[in-house]
Amino acid sequence: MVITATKFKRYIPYLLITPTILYYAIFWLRPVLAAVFYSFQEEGSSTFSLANYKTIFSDPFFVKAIINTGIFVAISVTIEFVVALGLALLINKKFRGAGLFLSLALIPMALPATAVGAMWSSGFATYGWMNSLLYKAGLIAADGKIPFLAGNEFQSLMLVIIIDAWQVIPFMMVILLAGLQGIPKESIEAGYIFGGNKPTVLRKITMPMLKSSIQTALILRIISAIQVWLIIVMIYGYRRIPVLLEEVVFYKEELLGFYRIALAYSVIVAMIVSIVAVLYLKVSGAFKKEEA
Amino acid sequence: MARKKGKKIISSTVFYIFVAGIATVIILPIYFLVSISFMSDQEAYDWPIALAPAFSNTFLLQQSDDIPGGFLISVYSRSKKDFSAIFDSDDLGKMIDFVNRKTSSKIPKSLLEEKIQELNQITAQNKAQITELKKQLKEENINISRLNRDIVKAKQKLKLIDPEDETFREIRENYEKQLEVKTQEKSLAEERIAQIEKKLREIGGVTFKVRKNIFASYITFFRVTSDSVGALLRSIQVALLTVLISLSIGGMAGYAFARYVFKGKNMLKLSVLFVRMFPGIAIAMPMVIILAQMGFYDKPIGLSLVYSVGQIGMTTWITASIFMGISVELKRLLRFLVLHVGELSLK
Repeated sequence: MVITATKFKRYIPYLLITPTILYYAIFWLRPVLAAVFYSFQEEGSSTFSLANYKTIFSDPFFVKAIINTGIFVAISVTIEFVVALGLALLINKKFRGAGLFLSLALIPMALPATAVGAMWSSGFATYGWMNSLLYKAGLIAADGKIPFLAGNEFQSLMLVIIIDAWQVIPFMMVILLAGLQGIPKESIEAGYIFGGNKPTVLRKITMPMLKSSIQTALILRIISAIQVWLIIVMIYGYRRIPVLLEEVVFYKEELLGFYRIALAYSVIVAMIVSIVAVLYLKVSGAFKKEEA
Repeated sequence: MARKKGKKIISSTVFYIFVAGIATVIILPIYFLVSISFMSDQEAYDWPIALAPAFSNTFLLQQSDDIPGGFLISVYSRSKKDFSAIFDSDDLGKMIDFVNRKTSSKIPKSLLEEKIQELNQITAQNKAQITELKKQLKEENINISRLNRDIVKAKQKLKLIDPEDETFREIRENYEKQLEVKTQEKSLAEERIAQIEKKLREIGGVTFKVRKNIFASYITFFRVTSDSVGALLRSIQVALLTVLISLSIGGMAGYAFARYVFKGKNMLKLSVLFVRMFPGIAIAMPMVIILAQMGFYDKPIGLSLVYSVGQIGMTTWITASIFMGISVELKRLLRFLVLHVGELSLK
């Protein structure tokens, strides 16, 4: 009787996770396998071929998309993380209105990308509210309107990074703030008692204890940063600033009969994302920590 | 002691200004999105755009120059601090419709007729002066177009001459001087025109205010978009179903993560990330086939099933941390009970 109870107990966690695994198998693994399978077949045929991949690799937009995505991920993730961490450290205390402030900070992330696109394309238009505001603040003259949207490819990419940062930084700040407030006060106080000054305590106590929050925030951010596209299309349309996923959508939605190329493209994007993610997890030591 | 207190006040003020600054940066774009949505067409395309939508429009009614027996209606632009013409017609119904579309103000026909009568009275009174001013205006306009022609000519000539070439220096300087003089004359003429127009408005125009419908864009949206209410209801339905699916399935896994140690826990935790790695758009087509086989295609539940794929992982993480939190709180409560009641024995 006792034995069966403990035996049963051993199976409880597996029973609890079975629905999730089944769900993933049906609604994720199956379509993904189908997508991978069809990516190796040319449109309208059912024989194995690498033609789709060859088409992508010979597309000049592919290289551009890789470079743009790389720049976007590197700059946006760095800026967003550094600024969000700085803000979180500065704000990390109990103050009146904290609840209101935190819920305000979550609004940008909750907005749909189409609304964000509309908001900023009306803002960065030459006759938009950004220039109006600058003019009213006396920062530019009436004929000195800044043509935000008319920049070259790099400048345009920077603009997208700014818009993305507006959306992501508050969210990341909230995640890091939650992590910071989870650190017991005693450990920070102990750091000061043992003669640590502010930078030392920050480096030796706060940061290591914040590590798992940082890892969570960063890995989710990197994965979604590689897959940025809608905000770019909302502001610049297709193929002005090619990025990886924008190309996938372009092949799938804008061209007819290129669906399998879009699938092959997705497989490539998924490979890139997983390589980056695994590299990040290896470097940051997430695997080691979990196993310990 | 007092100094310390003062310092504290300053630092907390600085802190609040800092927090308010961040909040402003977050809110500002959203504020403009909302504010512009309450503006009329005419306001939204004005520059610099107003900081808040107006609740009424000021109109100016004048007799039309081009259409005999017609009227010219202008609306006051807060940005330009001047009236700008919007419609010129002898058909009052058409005028009311157009003005409504452009400025979101529906002028009552009786008011318009009343104002037209007023206008006719005024213009009859000041007829001689108005004709004189209109004649002046015509002359000034001819003057301006002549000046414009001269300016363009001088600019073209200057373009042809190499500025480095010393032989044509005299000619070049001559043209430059001409350009300067003409530009000055033009701005003077423009000033005079503005003055004449202002006077004409005073003696030959009637102004009046009409309330603006600030919800005009919203009303138009729901009128133009077919099935917008149905779409809204379906969105809510999909959202609720997604929450239900991902919370029940993800919640179970989250509980397992929080309370048990088991093989493959680590791998499963990372699977949350792996699910997000494959672009959702790519699995859309195979997904359609799967949903069609199940009979869920083109139904809210089908959409919820797709959305839940990305959400279950997140729900697992979040619920796991919540379940862990509960256990800590419970432990504290139990410890309290043990210490203060002393009757409960714990392992």
